[in-house]
Amino acid sequence: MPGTISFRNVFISTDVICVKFFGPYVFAGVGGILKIFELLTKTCVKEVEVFKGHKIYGIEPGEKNLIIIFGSKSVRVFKFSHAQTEIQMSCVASISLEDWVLTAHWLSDDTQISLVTAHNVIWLWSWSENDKTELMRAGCSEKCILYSATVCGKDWESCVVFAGTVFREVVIWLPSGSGMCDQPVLHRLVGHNGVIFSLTWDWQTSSLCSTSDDRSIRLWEFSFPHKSDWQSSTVTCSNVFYGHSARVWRSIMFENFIVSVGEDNQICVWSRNGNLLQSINRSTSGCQWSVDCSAKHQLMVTGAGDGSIQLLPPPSPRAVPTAITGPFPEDLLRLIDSPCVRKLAFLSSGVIVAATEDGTILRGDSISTPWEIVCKDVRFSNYCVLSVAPSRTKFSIASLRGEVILYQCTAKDGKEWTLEQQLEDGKIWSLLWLSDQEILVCGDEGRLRVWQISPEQGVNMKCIGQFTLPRSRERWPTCGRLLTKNSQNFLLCGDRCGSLHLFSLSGFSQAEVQFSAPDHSLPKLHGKLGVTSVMKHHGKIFSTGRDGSVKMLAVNSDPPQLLLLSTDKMVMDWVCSVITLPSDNKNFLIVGFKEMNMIVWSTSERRTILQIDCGGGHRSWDCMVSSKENLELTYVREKQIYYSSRALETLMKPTLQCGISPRELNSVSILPLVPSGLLFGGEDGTLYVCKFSGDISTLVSRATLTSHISSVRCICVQDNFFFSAGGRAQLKAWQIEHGSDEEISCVELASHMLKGERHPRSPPSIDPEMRYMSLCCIPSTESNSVVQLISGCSDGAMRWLTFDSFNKTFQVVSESMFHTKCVLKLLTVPLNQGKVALISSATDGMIALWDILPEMFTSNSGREPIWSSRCHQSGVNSLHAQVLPTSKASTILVASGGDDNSVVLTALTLGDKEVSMIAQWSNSSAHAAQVTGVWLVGAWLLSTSIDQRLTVWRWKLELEGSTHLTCDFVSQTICSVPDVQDMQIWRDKDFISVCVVGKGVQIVQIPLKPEL
Amino acid sequence: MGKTSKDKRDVYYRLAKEEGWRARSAFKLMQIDDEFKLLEGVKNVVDLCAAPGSWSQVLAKRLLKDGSDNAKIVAVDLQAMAPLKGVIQLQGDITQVSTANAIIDHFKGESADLVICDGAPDVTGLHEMDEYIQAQLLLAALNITTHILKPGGSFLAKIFRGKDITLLYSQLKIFFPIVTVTKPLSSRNSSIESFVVCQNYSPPADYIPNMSNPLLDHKYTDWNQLTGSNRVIVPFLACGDLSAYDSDTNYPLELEGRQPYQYRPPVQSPISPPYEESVQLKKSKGLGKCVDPASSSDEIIKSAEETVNKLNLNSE
Repeated sequence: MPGTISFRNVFISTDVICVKFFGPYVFAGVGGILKIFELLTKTCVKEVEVFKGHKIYGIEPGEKNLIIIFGSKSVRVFKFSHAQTEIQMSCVASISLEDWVLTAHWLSDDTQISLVTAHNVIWLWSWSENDKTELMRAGCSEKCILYSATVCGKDWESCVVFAGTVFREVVIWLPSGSGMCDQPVLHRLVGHNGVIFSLTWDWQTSSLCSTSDDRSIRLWEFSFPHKSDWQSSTVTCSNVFYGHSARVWRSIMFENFIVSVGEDNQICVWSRNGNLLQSINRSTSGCQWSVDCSAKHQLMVTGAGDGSIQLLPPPSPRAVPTAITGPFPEDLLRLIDSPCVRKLAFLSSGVIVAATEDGTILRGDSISTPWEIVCKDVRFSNYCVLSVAPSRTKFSIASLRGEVILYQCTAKDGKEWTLEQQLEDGKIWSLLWLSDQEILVCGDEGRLRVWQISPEQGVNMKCIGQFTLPRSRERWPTCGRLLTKNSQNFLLCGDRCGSLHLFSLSGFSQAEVQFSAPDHSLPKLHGKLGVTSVMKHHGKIFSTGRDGSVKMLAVNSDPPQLLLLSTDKMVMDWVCSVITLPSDNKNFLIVGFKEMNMIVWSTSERRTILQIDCGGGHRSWDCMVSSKENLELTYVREKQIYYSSRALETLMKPTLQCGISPRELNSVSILPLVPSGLLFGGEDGTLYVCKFSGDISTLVSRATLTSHISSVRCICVQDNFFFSAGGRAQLKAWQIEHGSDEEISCVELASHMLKGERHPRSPPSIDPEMRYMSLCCIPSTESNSVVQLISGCSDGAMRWLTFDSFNKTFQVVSESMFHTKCVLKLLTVPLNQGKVALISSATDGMIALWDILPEMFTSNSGREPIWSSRCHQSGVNSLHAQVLPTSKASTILVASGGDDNSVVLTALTLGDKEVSMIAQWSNSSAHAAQVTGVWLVGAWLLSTSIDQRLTVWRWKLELEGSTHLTCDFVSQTICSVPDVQDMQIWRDKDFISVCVVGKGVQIVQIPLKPEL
Repeated sequence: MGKTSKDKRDVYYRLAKEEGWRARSAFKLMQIDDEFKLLEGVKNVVDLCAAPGSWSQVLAKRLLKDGSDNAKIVAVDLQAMAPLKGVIQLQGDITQVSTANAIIDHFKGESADLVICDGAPDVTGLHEMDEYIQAQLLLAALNITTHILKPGGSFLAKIFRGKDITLLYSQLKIFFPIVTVTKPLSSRNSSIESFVVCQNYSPPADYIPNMSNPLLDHKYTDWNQLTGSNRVIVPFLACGDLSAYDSDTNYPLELEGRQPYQYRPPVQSPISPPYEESVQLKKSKGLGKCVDPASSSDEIIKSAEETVNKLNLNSE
């Protein structure tokens, strides 16, 4: 019985093509669903399915809480109401046109709406709540496809159409000209070198803004000799804005700014005279499709290709840090021989300590309090190591001859004191504050000592550990932290040569003469330019370096060991430090340098929140977040001190909805050991570990793994290991580790490239690197440290591999060239008695069945399938199988979906000697496009395709008498995710969940019928 | 990206350059023709949206064997295209009656036996919209085809097999009793591109060709539902000899039984791409700064003209 199955959409994330501020809400179109976010709570308060089967392309609020929502060929009018806490959106009118709707515009009579469709036609839609609608049409003499259009005017008689044509022009025409014939073009705006993607009209400035394929934005200004008389108007292109590095999708005019968004992941803020004031790069969220601004809320919002909806600070002119011009008053200057500032740091909000070339230490306020000399000591001239304690209540200076002076700025009792001590005989290469009580001092030849500071005044520091740094070109540490693991204390430090070292702190006696070597090192972890910081934040250890990366680490105590958990490549060339936020313990800020700019990056928004041209990273600088949540920066440039303080809330705004991947996802898998865990891999080369909460219908990101150098095409999971593979013949092994409170961390165990990692300077290989297309693990009954894997590759080979989890190495055992064409899918089928069958498919429509024997992973013996057949005309993109409970031999039911639109079911019986096909069913028009997912669950067969349909079939195999396999259509729904590439299904108690991935993710639940 | 990286990615891209085709799509037409014999007995043939001209190259090679002139090939495009021996070029808009008349004039009043169209729009990445615009391009091609194709003739065009493709199928079924979707081996498995082969042109009895209104694609109806078992899905036929190269498979650069590999520049690089000015500004560090609206685009047009002239010289 068709239609008896109900499909319940429980989660959708895909391109957000429109966003709009409406009162205290943000409206966003996610696929065909309208999501309403409340600005006060920053949460989604309502979801309405506006369209089934197509996306929302526009939202136009009008008077009386009426809102037009349109997309594809459909237009709907909704009435928004708000009763107590419940938001109501009721559809009051609806129309379907015969052509694609590009824009909808309210006329002053709120029962009239003008619509422009893709063949340059405008419609006057007079709607009413009782379904009595009228439609009037006007065409233009210019007949061609439009990519964009907008309308201005209060009524039909005076309204004007601006149409962006496929022929790179904007044509302007009046619909209400004489007669019924096509209206002439009034103005033809020529200049763009590509199709026009958007048009925006602004009455206040009488100007039109166009964005184009040619990566530019053009501003056209109109002048009217007679008020609002378009016939006599003239138009000029007043400015062209080039700044995007890819196509520009939309623009809006807001106050004196123009904001544009594009394919290059950027939001650009321009002055009307053509200067780029600000560019916000949301590189991890992909295409920026949509943008809106609100003057009332002083906010901007964007919708992106990864499904994210992000609030942003409103457009503003560029903020420049102020130079503290001549900070030192005349009377002070007389006392300083050389006022050239060498080093500086913050002591507290706005208070800076600076060391000059002549050994004068000054303290001053950037704004009000006058500068004062803390000390003037010739021993600290020309060379002075200035460092500040983590709490910034203490600082220290160290000299060329081993002297150290500590300054307690504000003790608990309000007293200030200093302490001087000779800590080395020679030069102090570096002095690092490990905590407020411990410092790490490096002398000659990498000699390290940890000194403990007494809380009492006047008591000398005590050495609590001494170590030696491994030999290197510049042998001193650049950062250090004390760590405790299983009640053992460790010193973790990073050096100038990019290595991290772990030293055990326990068991040190004052009589010790030995300088112990590191217990464990990760050499050159951050490249050769050096580690810049290490820090501990909520149980996680992070290191940053001049290789542009932030790494997450873990420490084992027995034996002492450092583990690299993950690497995050940042937008900056040098990553310098991690700054915690007082009110957010999940996220932090990352400070670094790129070319001439200092960059502050937020992990919550995953974007640069502040960029300052400071001249580059070779300078003394400091950055802190004050208790008032101001981001304060200071740096030296051309001997001047610069200072900037910006309220964090003007730089960072909350995310309304998180995104997943900016590009297509190729693969999805369940993580059986993580409750509701899902793993995604895609074209952006990133793996996403997420948790799906069915109760609140959200997908929460748990880990983002970015180390693949090319796309991820396939993933497979075995216990707490998972494997990912894809372009450039790269294969990786990972391990999932559970931490406290649902924290998941994923450790990269091994990375393998078929032809080995290429040295950057060696010439590229002459032959192409293949892509791993599919990967599967051989389930093993006994626990074994060696995982057996089979891969399907684009060079036509299937490769047998092993992964030794103890030694963390992959090994290619052998290969089969049975499929000479690109192998597309592999699937393992566990049979009785621990036997395993494998099914493979390729682009030539072949499906093969293999008997997987343990010796295949140890010897290079012959590899031939036990059965094969050409089941499809071309590529077999999806496979699934089920072992049927039959009396004697094993019977496998194989479902396959092909590029040829067909779904095929093949029943195979595995005899002792041979495999026989006992029955086959196929439907050559199962879908209208490539079938990219099939799944057998009980008596159901589910299939999905690029045509965005999810179909449920019911199969039946009769074995009594003549064998007969049939399969009937049961029901179908349409998905909102385009370009569906993979499907994963899991069973819950009384429903099944279907997750489809492509350009986005959708999860649909289907209640289980009793017969399943 | 290295010079050879594109060669490594797709075997047909490389083969097209080796064999002198202007684009690898030449192989797609050859493989479709091998399967459907569309060019058998064809006298008058029209290539719509012909630039850069690889399909016209195939037509010329297969129809004008041994320098015979028993077939006429008319290539239509809005943009100029480097000349091809034996191909009559017509720079014109396929939505204009004048273009249809000009084609008929070239055939001395006769109708076309075959119309082919490999045109594609600028894709936005929004599949639904790209599919719609591609469908509109195809319908514009179909519209002019109804003016110039003889009854019984064939029509071949590129489609994007996406969400609403059944609407296009039902539209095409009105004009052609035999509609088949095909995908040559030279078109990648992962691509949404396919081709429709429409045979035995038989317009409805009361149909009068009309250029003033565009043909629009259909709506979902009872007999072509949005979801359900009654969708109009036309048969699929894969084409291309199975022993031929597969576009998804990686092959070594040194191919068995062929000449040793050597890098060849593209037969034809893009003429005046939309991003040309932006790229120039980036090189001269002019992005983000004021640009005089009156300047530059003239230069682009000039440089495009130069490119075309150069190409003309090359092909002569």
